[in-house]
Amino acid sequence: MRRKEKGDHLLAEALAEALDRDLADVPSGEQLRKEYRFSTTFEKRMERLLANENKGKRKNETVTDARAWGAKAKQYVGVAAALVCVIGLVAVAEIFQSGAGKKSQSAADTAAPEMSAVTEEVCEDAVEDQTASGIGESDTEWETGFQEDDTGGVPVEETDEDQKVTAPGWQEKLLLESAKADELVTWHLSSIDGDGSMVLLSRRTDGWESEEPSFYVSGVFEVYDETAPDEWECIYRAARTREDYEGVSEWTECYTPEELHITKGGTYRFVRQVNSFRQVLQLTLEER
Amino acid sequence: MLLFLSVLETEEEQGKFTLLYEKYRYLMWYVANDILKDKDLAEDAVQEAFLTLTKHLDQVEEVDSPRTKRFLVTVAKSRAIDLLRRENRAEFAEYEDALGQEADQNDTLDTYLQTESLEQLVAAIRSLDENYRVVLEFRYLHELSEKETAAVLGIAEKTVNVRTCRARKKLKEVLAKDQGGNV
Repeated sequence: MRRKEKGDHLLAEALAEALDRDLADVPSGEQLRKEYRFSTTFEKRMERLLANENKGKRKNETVTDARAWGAKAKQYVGVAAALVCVIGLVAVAEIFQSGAGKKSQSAADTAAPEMSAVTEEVCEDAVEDQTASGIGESDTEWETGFQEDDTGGVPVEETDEDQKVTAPGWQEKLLLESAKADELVTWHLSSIDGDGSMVLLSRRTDGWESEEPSFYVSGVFEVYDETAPDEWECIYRAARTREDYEGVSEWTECYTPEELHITKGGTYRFVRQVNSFRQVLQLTLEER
Repeated sequence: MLLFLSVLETEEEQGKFTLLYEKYRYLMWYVANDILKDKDLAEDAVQEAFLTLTKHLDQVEEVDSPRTKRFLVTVAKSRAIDLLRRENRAEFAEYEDALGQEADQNDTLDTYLQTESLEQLVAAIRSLDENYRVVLEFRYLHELSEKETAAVLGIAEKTVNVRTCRARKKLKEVLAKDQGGNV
């Protein structure tokens, strides 16, 4: 055995012995069970996880029973993520005008094999010159009454509370802003549960080693339905929650179509806030 | 932050996960609490440890084995250290700075390992800070690659490499000190 291999083996043996000695001092499981009772919050979280019943959002957020939706509504399966690649402004315009940029997503196929069709629309990042294009941070800063802002500065043509159509060009600007958010944290579809619930995965681009910048990320606060090519109708709007994700490299959220007011197949854009930027995730849902 | 059992694709995986939870959650909590000195944070660490486990269940073969027990304890410790890091950012920033120093180019730990008795090695390891021990445990005891360790810890592979070097250097220092020699 080479010296290094032998050294590694000895080190492993010593580490095991050290750990075992540490654990020798730990009371038995039975004793610990008598002495300590896990909090109700912990038990509920873990029960939920173990029972695989409710599909929750992030910690401390409310949970919607996805099964209820699945039982009474058609199921929708998913799709694929938007986001995050860098190209030029011209290419973005082409995507919006022609619907180009769609491509299959094998990961989504894997995640939801029952999908009848899966498409991914890549909201190509086009921020080579954001300053020149006039696209910058969102109109509202997180720290300045952001949570109370219900519109996020969206130009709205229609005034009906639940059926708002955004002004021409605004979606494009939103996507460009999203590109900035993508530089901080990626956002994509992780899996589709059997009942149609969408598990969305977020991942910091810098891992969790960096101390700065801090991350403040909201849940989905707006959903837009593509009613016609390049026409987006807001079908869901909520107050923007704020959560600090310092020190966390990745996390998941889970949404049922029902809770986001999605009742039919189609292409949708989910919007959330990452620091002072809005971020977009585009999904195409198909009924099955 | 919840990750769901649905991430586990098979009933076998879900069954294994449930058994692990039933068997080891108190032990994991105890270990986490020993580091954090905070019962609530320790619960968070246990939850995060199980979430981590959903993604690395392939590292666990048998539910009831010393190897599994050690692995879950190491995962719980690593999650607890992460939480501690978040609670004490300044302190850990200093620690990370130290990690950023150059790796030990002349790693002579192997020489020490072969000249010291097991008892001395164990004592030296037990005197190490948990930050160092955890990375050594993942790499050498649980035999995870740098890539796998990085995935479990949620850090870059390069960082795993640096931490491993740093931990080895620290262990060598302890052993050298015991011998009364120089590093």
